Amino acid sequence: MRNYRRYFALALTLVMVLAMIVGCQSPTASSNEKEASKKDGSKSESAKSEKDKTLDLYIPNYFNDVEKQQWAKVVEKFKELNPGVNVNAANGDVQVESGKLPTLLQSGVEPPDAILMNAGPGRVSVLSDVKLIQPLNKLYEENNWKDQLRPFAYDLISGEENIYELPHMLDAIGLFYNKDIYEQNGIEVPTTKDEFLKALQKLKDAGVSPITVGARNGYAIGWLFGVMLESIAGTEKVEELIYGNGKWNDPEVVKVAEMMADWVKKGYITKESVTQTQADSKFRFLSKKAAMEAEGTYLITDIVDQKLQTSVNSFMMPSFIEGKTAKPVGGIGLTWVIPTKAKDVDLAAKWFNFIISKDYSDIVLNLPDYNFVPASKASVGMVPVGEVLKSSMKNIENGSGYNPSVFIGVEAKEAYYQNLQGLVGGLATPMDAMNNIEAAAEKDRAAGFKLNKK
Amino acid sequence: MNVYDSTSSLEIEQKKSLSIIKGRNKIKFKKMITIISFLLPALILYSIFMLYPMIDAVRFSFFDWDGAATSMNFVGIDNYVKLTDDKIFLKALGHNLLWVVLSLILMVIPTLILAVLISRVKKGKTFFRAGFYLPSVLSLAVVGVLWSKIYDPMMGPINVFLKSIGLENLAKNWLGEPYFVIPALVIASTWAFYGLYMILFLAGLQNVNSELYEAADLDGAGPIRKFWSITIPSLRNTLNVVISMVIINALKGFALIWIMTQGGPFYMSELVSTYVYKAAFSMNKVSYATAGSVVLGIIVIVFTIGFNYYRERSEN
Repeated sequence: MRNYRRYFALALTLVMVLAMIVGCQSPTASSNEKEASKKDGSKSESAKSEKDKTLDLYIPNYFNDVEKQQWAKVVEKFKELNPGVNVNAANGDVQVESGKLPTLLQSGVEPPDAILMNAGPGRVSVLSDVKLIQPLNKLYEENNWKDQLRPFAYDLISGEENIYELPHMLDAIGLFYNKDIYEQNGIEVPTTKDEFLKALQKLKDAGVSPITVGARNGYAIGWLFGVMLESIAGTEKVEELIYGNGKWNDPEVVKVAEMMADWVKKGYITKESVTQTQADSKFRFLSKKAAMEAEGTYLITDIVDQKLQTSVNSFMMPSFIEGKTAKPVGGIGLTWVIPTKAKDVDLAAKWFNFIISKDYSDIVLNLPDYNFVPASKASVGMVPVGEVLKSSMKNIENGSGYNPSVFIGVEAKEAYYQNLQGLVGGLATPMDAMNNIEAAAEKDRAAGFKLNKK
Repeated sequence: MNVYDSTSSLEIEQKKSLSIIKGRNKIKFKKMITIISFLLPALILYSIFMLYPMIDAVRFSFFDWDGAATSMNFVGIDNYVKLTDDKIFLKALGHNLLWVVLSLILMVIPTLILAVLISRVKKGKTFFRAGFYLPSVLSLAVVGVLWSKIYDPMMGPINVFLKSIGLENLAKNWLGEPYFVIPALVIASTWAFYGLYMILFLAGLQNVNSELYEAADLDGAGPIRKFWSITIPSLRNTLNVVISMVIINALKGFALIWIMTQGGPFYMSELVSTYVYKAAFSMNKVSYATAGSVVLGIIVIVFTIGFNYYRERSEN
C-alpha cells in the first residue's frame, strides 16, 4: 500500500511537471514543429486548390465603426477579384514604439502574411535591421510597383539598398478649421502670413481659442510644430534636418520654436494645452470650442461620424517665406511589410497589387467617409467623394512636406516631444528646447542613424 | 573474558552504533526529501517566474541590445556608467525620492487617523469601512482617467470651484506646472491606495488591548495622549508593514503616472519606471532600460532592508 502511495505521488509529480512545461509553451506549435507538419501534409497542401487559401493580415485597431465598415468593403472587393481566397484581418497595435509588433514577430507564433504598420524609417528599420521583415526588392521588380506608386511615396522608401515596405497611404497634416467660427468672425481662409496672423489675433480678441493642441501626446504637438516648421522655415530646411547636416539649434529652426512660445504667450495656443490629450483636443475642436487644430486626414471619419462635413474643412498654414507655398506635412502614414516568416508571400503580393490598383482607389475614394490619401499612382487625378479628403489630396498633388516625428531617430523623437511640451507649458526656452533636441539627434547620429534621400 | 571476546563485543558495539547512525541518517534523509518535495513545486515556480527574470534582467544590463536583434554585444558596466551621466535618469530618481517622501506624509498619517476614527464609530462601521475602501477596488487606469478630469485646468471641478468662489489665482494647471505635478499625482495615488492601508490599520487596531485604554482613562489620559502612548506603540508592527509597502509602491509607481502624464510635461513627472519604459519600448534601448530598472530594484531592496534593520534595532 505504502509503495503504491509512493508511485502515485511520483506519477502526480510527473504529471504536474509535464503540465507546467506544456503550459509554458507558446499557444501555437513551434516553427520546427510547424515545418515538420508542413512536410507531412505537403501532399494534401498541394492537392488543395487556390480556392482554399487564406490571407492573414494584421492591421491597425479600428477607431470607430466607420473604419470597420471601410475595411469590410475593401476586403469584400479583394475577395470578389480573387474568388475563393479568404482574408483574415486581425487588428492590433501596429506601432513599433509600444514593443508589441517586434514581440509578435519574435514570438515564434506564426506571423501574418502582411502587416500594415505605422510608417517612418525609424520604425521600419527596427524590424528590418534584425530581419523580422523581408526585403521586397524582388517583388518590386516582378510587379513593377515602382511605377505604380506616387513618385514622392517611392522616393521616401527607396533611399537604401533594400526596400522593405509598400506605402499604403500618405499623410497630409494641415490645419483643420471650423468654418462657422471663421464665418461668425468674418475670417476668410488665410493665404498669406499676415492674413494668418491677423486671423489668430481676431479670433483671440473675439474670445475664441484660435488653436487647440493635445500636447500631452507628443505626436500631436509634433503635428503642429511640423506644420509651423514647414510654413516658417520651409521644406528645404526640414529636408536639411532630416537628410542633411541641418541642426535643430539652427537660428531658422529656433525662430519657429520662438514663434510657438510667442503664440502661447499671446493666447493663440492655450497654455493649458500642455496637459490636454489629443482626444481632448479633438473634442474641443469638433465641439466648436476652438477654431483650428493641426491634424491629418484621420480626422475625417470623426467629422463624418459627427455629421460635420459641411462645417469643417482644412487648409495648409500659409508659407511665411516670400514666394513659397507651404505643403501639408506628412510622409507615409501607414505602410505594408511582409514578415520574414510569412507563410504565403505570393498571396501577400497579390494583396499589395490590389492595394495599389485602380480597383482599390475606386472603392475607397468613393466612400464619403474615407480618410486616407492612397499612395498609389492610380489614385492621382481621382476625385474623392469626401470634401475634406478632396482638398487634402489636392494639396499634396505634388508631394508633401515632412512631419519630423516620423523621420527622426528615437532619441531625438523623445526629446522632440518633451521639449515641445516644455515650450507650450512655458517650461523650456526656445533656445534650450532646440539645443536639447539637437543633443538627442547627435546621440542618434553617433549610434549610426542616418537617412538617405532617393 | 579473553581478548577475542572483548574485541568482538567492541566490533558489535561499533556495528550497532554504525547502524544507529545509518538509521538516523536515513531518517534525516527522508525528512529532507519530504521537506524538499513540499518546497520544490513552489521553488520551481518561484525560480522560473521570479528568479530567472531577475537574473536575466541583470544579465541584459551588461549588454548592448535593442530588444529585437538576435545577437547582443557585451559592454560590461557601460550602461551603468551612462546612467550616472544621464540627466533625465537622475532627475527621475530625484522625483522618485520626492514621491516616497510625499507618499509617506500623505498616506501613512491620514490613513492611520482615518482608521482610528472609523474604529471609534459605533453605528455604520461597515458602511464607512466599505465606503473608504471603494477606491482601492478601482483599476489604476480608471483612477488615472478620473483624476485627469478632476485636475483638468479648464473643466476640472477643482478649478471650476476655485473660480466660482473668486479664487481664480489659485486655479492652476495641476498636471502642467512643475511645482504641482508630482504632488497632484501623489494625491491621486494616495486616493487609490489609502483604502488598503486603512484596512491594515483597522486590523491592527482590533488587536490593541482595550484594557490599556481603560487604564489610561482611569489615569485621566486625554485622546491625544492615548493615541500617542497606546495606539501608536501597539500598531508598531502594522506601521512597519504599511511604511514598507508605501515606500516600495512609491518607488515602483508606474501605471497612474503613465496614464495621467506619461512623465511629462518636459520630464517634470518622469519617474525611473516611466523613463525605463520609454527607453525600452520607444527608444529600443532594452539593455540600458534594464540597467535603469536594476538600479531602481537595488534602491527598493536597500530601502526595505535598511528600514527593517532599523525597525529591528529600535525594537531591541
